[in-house]
Amino acid sequence: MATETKLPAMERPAEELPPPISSGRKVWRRFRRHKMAVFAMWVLGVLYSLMIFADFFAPYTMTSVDRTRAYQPPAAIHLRDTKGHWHLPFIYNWKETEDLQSLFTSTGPISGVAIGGWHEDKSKRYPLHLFVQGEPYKLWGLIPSDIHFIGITDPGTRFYLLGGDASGRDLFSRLFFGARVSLTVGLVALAIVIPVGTILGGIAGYFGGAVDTVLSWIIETVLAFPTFYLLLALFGATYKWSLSSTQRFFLITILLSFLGWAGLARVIRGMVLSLRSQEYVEASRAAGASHLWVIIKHLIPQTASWIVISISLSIPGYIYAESFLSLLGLGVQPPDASWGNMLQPALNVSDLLMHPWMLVPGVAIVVTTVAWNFFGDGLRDAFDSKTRL
Amino acid sequence: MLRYILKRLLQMVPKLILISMITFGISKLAPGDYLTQLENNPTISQRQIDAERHRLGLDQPVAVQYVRWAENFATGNLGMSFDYHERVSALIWLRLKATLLLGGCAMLFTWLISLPLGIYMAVKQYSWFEKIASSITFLFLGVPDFFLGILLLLAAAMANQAFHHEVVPIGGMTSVNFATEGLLAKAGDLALHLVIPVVTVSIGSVAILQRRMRGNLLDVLGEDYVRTARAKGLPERTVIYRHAVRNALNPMITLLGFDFAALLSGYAVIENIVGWPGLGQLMLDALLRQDLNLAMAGLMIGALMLLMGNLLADVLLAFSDPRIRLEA
Repeated sequence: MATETKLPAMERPAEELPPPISSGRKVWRRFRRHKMAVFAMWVLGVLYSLMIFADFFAPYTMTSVDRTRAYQPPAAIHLRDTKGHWHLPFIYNWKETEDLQSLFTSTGPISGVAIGGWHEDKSKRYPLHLFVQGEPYKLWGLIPSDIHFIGITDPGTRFYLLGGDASGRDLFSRLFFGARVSLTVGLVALAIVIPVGTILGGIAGYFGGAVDTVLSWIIETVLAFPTFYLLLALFGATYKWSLSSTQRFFLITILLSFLGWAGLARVIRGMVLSLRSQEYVEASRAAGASHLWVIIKHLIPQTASWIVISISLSIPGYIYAESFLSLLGLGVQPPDASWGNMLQPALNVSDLLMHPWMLVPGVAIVVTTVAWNFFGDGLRDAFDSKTRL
Repeated sequence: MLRYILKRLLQMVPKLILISMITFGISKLAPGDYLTQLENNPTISQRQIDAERHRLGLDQPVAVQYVRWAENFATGNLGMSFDYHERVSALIWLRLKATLLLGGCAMLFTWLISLPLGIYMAVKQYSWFEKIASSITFLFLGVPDFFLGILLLLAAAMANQAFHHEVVPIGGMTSVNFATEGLLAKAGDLALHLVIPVVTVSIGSVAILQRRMRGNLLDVLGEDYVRTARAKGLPERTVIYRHAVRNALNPMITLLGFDFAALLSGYAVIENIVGWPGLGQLMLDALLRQDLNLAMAGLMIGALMLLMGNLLADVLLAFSDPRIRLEA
């Protein structure tokens, strides 16, 4: 049920107490029963590893551009040449067609869709190589290298597996670099949201009285902001600032977490409110523990399973928010890649008809979101003690 | 009940004031103001711009500007749009109608599909239909609405291309010849333009609501009184539709209120993607062009709707569930 939150808001408050944490192995065993969740975990693992080694897996660098190859169709990988001889995988060079006849007869991946008059020049083969020397890069900004996982050595053509974008950059490569923003925005935002939300919510629920009144009022007010308009206002105001791409990324995450903490704080407040009257809390206080100690040591761990679940289920919300902001041109600014801003050309439908491969970043968003949803769902079932019965 | 509602309404005032202060402050974070973009225009002299800036009060400190805006807003004067040279209230009303039309149709569509589907899936639990439908809805939960909108637009464009005439219109709210058509043709034209926006915003909510309804009904079907009803020999239809469904519907009524709350804010993304000329589209333009009065009015209406929607949800719940008493 928590998969419904589309914007960065946490789950609605659960009425009952959080399920007690069972031993890690029990949770893991229950999690493993959830086949789709395990599969989703693997998918996420692969996605995040690809993202971490983006420079290596991407055939080109993020800003590598060849303007003559704008909207070049996806590379067709061949095994047989025109004479019928078999080879290791190779590609042909795409050439723009000058004569109008073939412009109307050539068809693209979706039948009936013209691919803008490109044809393969079959006179020369360009074999694909693994671990090929290509454009130099610095892995994580530290390790200089020029080895790419896959690519071609001949400079006569460019290997655009998923086609070229509007400026003639490699869509496939940019997908890796876009993942850096899209896959981490949620994690970084949550690194801010969780401490702020749990501590403020914990304080409000634990102390009650005037502290609770003030904090609850603030929480309710933040929740009363029309999220989308506020995001628009915040990003509309800041997108003209000249920032480096890292600064902009952190600006985006900070703004998103500014909206996300209140939902979490409200739930934690409710949980702590009901937990604090438990006997062990009184015992701890009687033994001389300070308030902060009780909150951090006794109360917040009780809410841990709920927090873990809500993390995995709220990440799609952050991915969504970042993508649509970038899609509307308010988030990550080109030439920096994010799945959202890579989808921008797809907003022009007549263009999209000609270059349907511009949809690929959207597919990446869907795959990631579905994977996180399944993973979170599996976690919830695994933590939920009721399902053991 | 009346006292409770009054109290909640009064509590909204300080919240709205705080929201307006924050949003006003935010809109001032942007470098320059509405007139900055005119400075590059060689036909307008700097003197003219300065005079205009003075006239609009944009040369005053932010606090002064805010107080002036708030005074006017409180007396019902939303001001003029810098960009459209028209009263903000008129502009907003025009766009609000479009958004409400879209929202109303989407709500109707969503509820008419998801409730029966949820009931059917709960009754036929573990059937192959339920399994397939469950997977499909789970998949749809993962498709962001903006991407769904793009896909639908693409599908419509391909259909239009294949049939060599416009099957489903792409973007906009009316056709070119809308004004000259008769009443029936007008309604048909509007309905055709509504197809893509309504389906786009509804599919996600259908997935959510259907899951909720199914979950609620499954909970209720496990209750003692359902077993009693079955034990005393009532036909299964009566058990489900008279005893179970009615009780399972209760929590759903609250969601109506939240739907209302999300009406403006929730559809803004889609309006910008599928080209529906609603408030969301207007707001994006206004914020980007720093059309201050228009942006502020839109933000305030959005906040008001959200607060009212939450209140509505609480009140609806109290009406539907006699066990809940609202304290004044």
